[in-house]
Amino acid sequence: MSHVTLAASANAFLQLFNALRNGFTFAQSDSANFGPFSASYAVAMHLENGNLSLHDDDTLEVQHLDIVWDTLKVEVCFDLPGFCTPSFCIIPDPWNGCLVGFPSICIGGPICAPLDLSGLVSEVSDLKARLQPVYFIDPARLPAWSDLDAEFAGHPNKWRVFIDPVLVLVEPIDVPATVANLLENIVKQAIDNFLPGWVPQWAKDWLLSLLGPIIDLVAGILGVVGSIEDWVSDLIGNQFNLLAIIETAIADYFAAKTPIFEFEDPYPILEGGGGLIPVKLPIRNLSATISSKEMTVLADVGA
Amino acid sequence: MPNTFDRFLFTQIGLDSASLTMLGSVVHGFQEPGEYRGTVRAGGLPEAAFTVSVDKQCAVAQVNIDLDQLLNPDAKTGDTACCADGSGPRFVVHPKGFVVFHVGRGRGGYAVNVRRADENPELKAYDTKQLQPGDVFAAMLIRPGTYRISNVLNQAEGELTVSYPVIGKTAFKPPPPLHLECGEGFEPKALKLYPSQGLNVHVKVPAHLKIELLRADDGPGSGDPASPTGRAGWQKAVAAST
Repeated sequence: MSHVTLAASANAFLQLFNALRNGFTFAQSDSANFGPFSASYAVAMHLENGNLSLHDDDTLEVQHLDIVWDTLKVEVCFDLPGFCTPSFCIIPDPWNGCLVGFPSICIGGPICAPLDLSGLVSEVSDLKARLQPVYFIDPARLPAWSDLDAEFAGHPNKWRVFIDPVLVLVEPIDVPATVANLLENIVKQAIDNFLPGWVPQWAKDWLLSLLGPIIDLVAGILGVVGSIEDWVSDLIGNQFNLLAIIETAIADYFAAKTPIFEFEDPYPILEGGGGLIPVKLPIRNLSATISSKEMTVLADVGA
Repeated sequence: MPNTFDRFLFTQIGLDSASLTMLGSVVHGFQEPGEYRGTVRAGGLPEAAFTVSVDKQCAVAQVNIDLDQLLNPDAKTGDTACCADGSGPRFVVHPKGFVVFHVGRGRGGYAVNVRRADENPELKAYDTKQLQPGDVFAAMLIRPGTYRISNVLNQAEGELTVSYPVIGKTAFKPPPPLHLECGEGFEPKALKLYPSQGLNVHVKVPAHLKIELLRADDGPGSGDPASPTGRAGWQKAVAAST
């Protein structure tokens, strides 16, 4: 039988989890060349909400954990290579030809389309975990120190209880369909910029009509098969592997970065003072378990 | 076929058969064999000359005369200013053929006067300022909006509407030219054109044709209820005036 038993009710465990969840932040940026185009992203996110449930099989589960994208910026750059409006007759010769033709105007050059999707919310649909106690030896503690020396120096050893995920499932980012309009407008603006400044807007629109649907043009260059929004979601989530990176970051945060519960070892029982040293109990053989009602921590007192 | 991306394509909105520009040309048939001397005017005075020889022996059915080229011969085609005697370049066409007076580039604003070389007083000179039956005024309108087409000589009027360009499912290609007859009136009285679609006005009575922009269509969001989206949107009801 264990010497020490600590318990936290399901509600208390929820409070501990909420504090742990609120401490998670993630920021990342990357860029890559995908052949016909290059892309970069910069993201920053935190977690909110989530339905926590404790199970009698010594596991806990969090569903619908919101990923709030404080920053979600993607930039896609590609070359508009030698794209030309079709040549056609301005002054038709009523009989057999054309007197004056409109030239084939070639529009080309690099286009970068920055897409700012900040504020989107996606979710960790499922996080399953067990509790994992870990004995922590402060790396700043010198080998010659006693436990008291370490406490006085502020580097005591600790018992830490982590939530150790066995499954983290991040859902693909649900990019809104409006991103296609956003992309189209950016490319239109870029094409506008390729034209001489004196060309009036109606003439630019006329030239654009000769080009055909811009989004089709862009989709062709980028190799988009389905919808633009799905393509952007796939680019961020799979091509850049961001979903897996976030899953790993969440798992690492819960499993190794921040414990849900920790205390010093030896555990302080009485403060020192008046010429007396503090009284501390060494804790050994710590285990942490979950049931549907509570978290239980068992330990022995040992030398 | 010369190509041009000339700003005058987008800045000259109206057309006038008496003042030819890139978007308005005149097609004329001489019919009577003989030598004709022509002058090109930009404003008042003749500025360039040319000769048209209407010859039954000639198999050429169509001659294109670029008025701007006559006035501003460049190095590439300097032969148009060939003749030291001042008669200018010579063009030959069959009596049943046609001469097309057009402006290949630039500001334009030209008129053409052609008379018989033998100065026969019984034969009236031909002047593009007054088109004759059988002539064709070939026009092109790019700027979207509603236009009035009129024959200044008999006050006949018609209406032309050029739709705003719409980015469709495929790249837009201007359809073939439409045709309009200019007699005592215009037939049909109204035509709807796509931007850059050709318009051939077949002249049946002496005419001085003008095409003037009445209302510009600046596309969706311009406040024009006749925008190509077809939606007028919600509008507050206005009480009928008494």
